[in-house]
Amino acid sequence: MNRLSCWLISVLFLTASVVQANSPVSLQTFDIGSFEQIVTDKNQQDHLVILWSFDCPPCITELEKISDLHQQFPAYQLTLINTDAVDEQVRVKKILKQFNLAELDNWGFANSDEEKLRYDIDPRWYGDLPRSYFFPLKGKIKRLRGALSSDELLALFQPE
Amino acid sequence: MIRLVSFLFIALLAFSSNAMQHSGSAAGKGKNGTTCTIASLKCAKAPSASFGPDGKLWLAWVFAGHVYVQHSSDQGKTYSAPSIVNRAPEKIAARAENRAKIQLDKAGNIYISWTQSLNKLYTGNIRFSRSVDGGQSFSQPITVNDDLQEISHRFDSMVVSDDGKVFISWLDKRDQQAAKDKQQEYIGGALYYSYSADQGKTFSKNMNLSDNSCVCCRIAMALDNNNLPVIAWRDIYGNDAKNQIRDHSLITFSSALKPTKKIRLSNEQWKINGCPHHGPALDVDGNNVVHSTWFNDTDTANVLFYGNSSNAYNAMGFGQADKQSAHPYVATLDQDGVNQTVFLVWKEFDGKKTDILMKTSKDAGLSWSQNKVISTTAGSSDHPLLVKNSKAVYLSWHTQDEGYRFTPLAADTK
Repeated sequence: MNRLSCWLISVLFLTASVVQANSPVSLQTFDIGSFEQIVTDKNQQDHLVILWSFDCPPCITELEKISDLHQQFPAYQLTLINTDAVDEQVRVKKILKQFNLAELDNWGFANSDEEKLRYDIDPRWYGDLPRSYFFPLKGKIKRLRGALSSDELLALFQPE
Repeated sequence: MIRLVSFLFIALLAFSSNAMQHSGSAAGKGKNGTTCTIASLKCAKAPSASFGPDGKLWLAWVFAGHVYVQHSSDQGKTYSAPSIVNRAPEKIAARAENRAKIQLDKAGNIYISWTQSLNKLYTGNIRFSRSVDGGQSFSQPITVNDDLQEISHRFDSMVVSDDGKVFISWLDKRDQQAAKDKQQEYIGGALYYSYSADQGKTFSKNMNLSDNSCVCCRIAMALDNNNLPVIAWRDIYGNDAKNQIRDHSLITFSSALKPTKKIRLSNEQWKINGCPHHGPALDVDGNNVVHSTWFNDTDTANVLFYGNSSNAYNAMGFGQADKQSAHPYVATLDQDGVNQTVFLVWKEFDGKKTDILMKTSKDAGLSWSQNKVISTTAGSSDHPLLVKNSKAVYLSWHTQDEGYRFTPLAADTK
């Protein structure tokens, strides 16, 4: 029996590590109404939503900073929304894995009708990327254009 | 111990089940179910258009790794069967700010340029092919950028003179890469340029026209009255990486290989360390006046702007910030050798439908008509483009629901 339990424990941990390493990145479908749902569901603590595309060099720079922030403060509530075409999702998932961001709440634009999705998020957003929205528990919502530096990211969650 | 074994079995099962569900939800999203399998204008990505010397309209568009061309002898009512430009498929940038370009010279030779996407993120090559037999066959594509590192050479733009001189410009990161190799900072990319004096058989050595350009917006090109290129692009002003102003610049040429000093085209001071995905447009009228239009989002009432060289590009704001006014385009039409009409078109989105709006000026940009909706779609759509021959200006617009539209435009008096 001892041998059996040792074997089972080994199998369990081996399987767990293999599954973790190869676990697919979950990219939820971002459609009309998703933004409101995301924001409503996450209104119990400060929340940063980042919109990004792989074809935007500053977005990739920012993902690196987001990754650092997430490693350092895993409790900070972060949501990533990718705006690339649906047929680019393999590449998108690869990047999320590369930056250790697979475990975040990741969303991908549902279809090619970007204008409707953009308008649903913010009628004053014209597609410039990266784009972020910070929803603090207290205070005003912040609409943030361009790539945020590590200091800027930290300052959102730890205002002076 | 049995209890322990049972617990371990259940734990293993639960873990696997959870992992499988995770996998399933990622794979089975069923996004945008429609598939397009036929190389046709309806399924095309990002068409562009140009008139030939015989009045035929030519289109170039991308489908499944190929550039295709089609022509129409009745201003876009019917089209010939599509023919392939590049026989070997390659990944081609054909979305939003990227598209294959098509131009013709007076002899009817057809010139095509496009950006080939490479494997690494935001890398590419500038590709070129031509037909000297009226579109029956196309030359083996060549790469115009003479730097072949797997880095960014993208966002090609092309103009061709009547006598077959080919001018191509693009955004190039070779200088950024060189700086990176030396651990030096280099903001953005550079505007590069090449020229062919022999109908696209050979191209000149690549020339850096301007350092520190923005890296993700289309470039605008047109020919002036001396058959030399005018180029407008989104530039980066300010050498501080954290304080980048993305305004536009414009450059003209005194001869094909002699650019003049660039000038600042726009001055809205849009501070953004990001990708605007909004390049400018320009055209040159019969009096050699350059007309340009661009987008800048600086929290003011207008996001679209127009200026011309006769008033030092003093910007007129138009388009409304709360109506998603975007992607403006400009074309001019010589009415009688003296008077010039200017057409401006752009997109607006009200949450449900996209309109193309137009305003026109019959006095070369001094006074303007009211805004007017000239086309509408409920689905997704490409950027609006303007195409002209010697008699008229046309709207070229690809929509997902209705397909490709090619519409003649009439200038309004009010």
